[in-house]
Amino acid sequence: MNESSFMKTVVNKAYTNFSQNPGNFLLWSGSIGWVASCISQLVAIANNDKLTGKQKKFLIPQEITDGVVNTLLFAVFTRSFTKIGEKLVHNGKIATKTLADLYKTTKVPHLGNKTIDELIGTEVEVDKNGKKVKQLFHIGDTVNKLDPTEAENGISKKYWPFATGVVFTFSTLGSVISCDAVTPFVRNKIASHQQKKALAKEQALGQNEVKTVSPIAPTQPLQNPYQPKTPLASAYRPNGSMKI
Amino acid sequence: MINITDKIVGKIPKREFNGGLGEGIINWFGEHISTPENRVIIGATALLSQPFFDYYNKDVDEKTRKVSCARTIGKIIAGTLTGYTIRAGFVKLVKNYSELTENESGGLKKIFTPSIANKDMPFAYKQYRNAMGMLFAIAGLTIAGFVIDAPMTNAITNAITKRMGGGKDGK
Repeated sequence: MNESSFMKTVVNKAYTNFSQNPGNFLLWSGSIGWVASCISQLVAIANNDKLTGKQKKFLIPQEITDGVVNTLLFAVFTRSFTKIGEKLVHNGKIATKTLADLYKTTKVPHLGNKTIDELIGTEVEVDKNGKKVKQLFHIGDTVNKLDPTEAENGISKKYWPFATGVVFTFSTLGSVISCDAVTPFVRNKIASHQQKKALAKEQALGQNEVKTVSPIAPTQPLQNPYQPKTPLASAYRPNGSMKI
Repeated sequence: MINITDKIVGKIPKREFNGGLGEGIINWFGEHISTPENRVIIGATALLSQPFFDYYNKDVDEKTRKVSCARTIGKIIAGTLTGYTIRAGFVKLVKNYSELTENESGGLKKIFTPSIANKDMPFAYKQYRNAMGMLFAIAGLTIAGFVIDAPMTNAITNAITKRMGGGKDGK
């Protein structure tokens, strides 16, 4: 395959996959964006000499958690909301008055010449990879198969801008909910838990070293770092501020 | 996941928009929103919510909380600025080099024009241009992440932290 035909294959594939599936495109482009951003932010924290070691111990796990949680929640929420938007519009649950009127008058030749309005909510037989399968009537697929003259002058021109608007509205709503409410809450919980674990481990190691070299009580067993009477443990509050 | 969305869709009553705000919002989203604008919406709303989650996170000490809050603000501002600029830039680039004309020979001006493009569907073509622009923007975003995003985040974080008194030695 030469350079020119490779380019044509890429642009044709992009056209087939995304020209009428904008929700799907927003989903994967957003997810990749989060992963790229997370990697660069990790490098930024590691190289920021104005941050203390303790702060980095929180910020690095926070960033990793942020990246993983953000990408996962973004994908799950955005995907779910996009699906809801797609189903609402393609199954005819929501429409504009103009579209609803067109549904009543537009006949579908390949489905018994019934109108779109008559077909909404019914199961129809469609061709999928050469096989006949039954599925819920899908307005988007049907509109694309209508006569080009019909598509240009009538329903298709009105249907796709509305359908895209619905899908974008729902997918934006999903991404805003996941990024602005769910993710910061979840990532902070996980990151602070990781920070406490790392600091407690460090503390326990420090105590262990003190005990090993201490000439006063060499046979005393290792103390639990969370035990309230030891000075270090009293400084560490598992549910609040860390003042080590 | 599919079952849950099916159940939710099943519970939503049939709705017909006849002008009004709802239809206006949907049409506006369909006409104006693509990946660059989507990034701005996420960034702007994130700025109104995320810093508060960090500032009132009682699970960490006060200084870490302040740095975390400052870094979130820095990250959102830097990420939104570079995210929007790069996405919009590449979408414009693809738009300039994907002319949809009858003329067969377009040279560079048609380098991103798909041979299967339907001229009767300008709306679908607009979506394709946005998607193609975003494909290129991914490479740009990865590079900008290191070159612009991360240093800018650090600079904003340090400036805000200094003002809040949450850095090293309380500075």
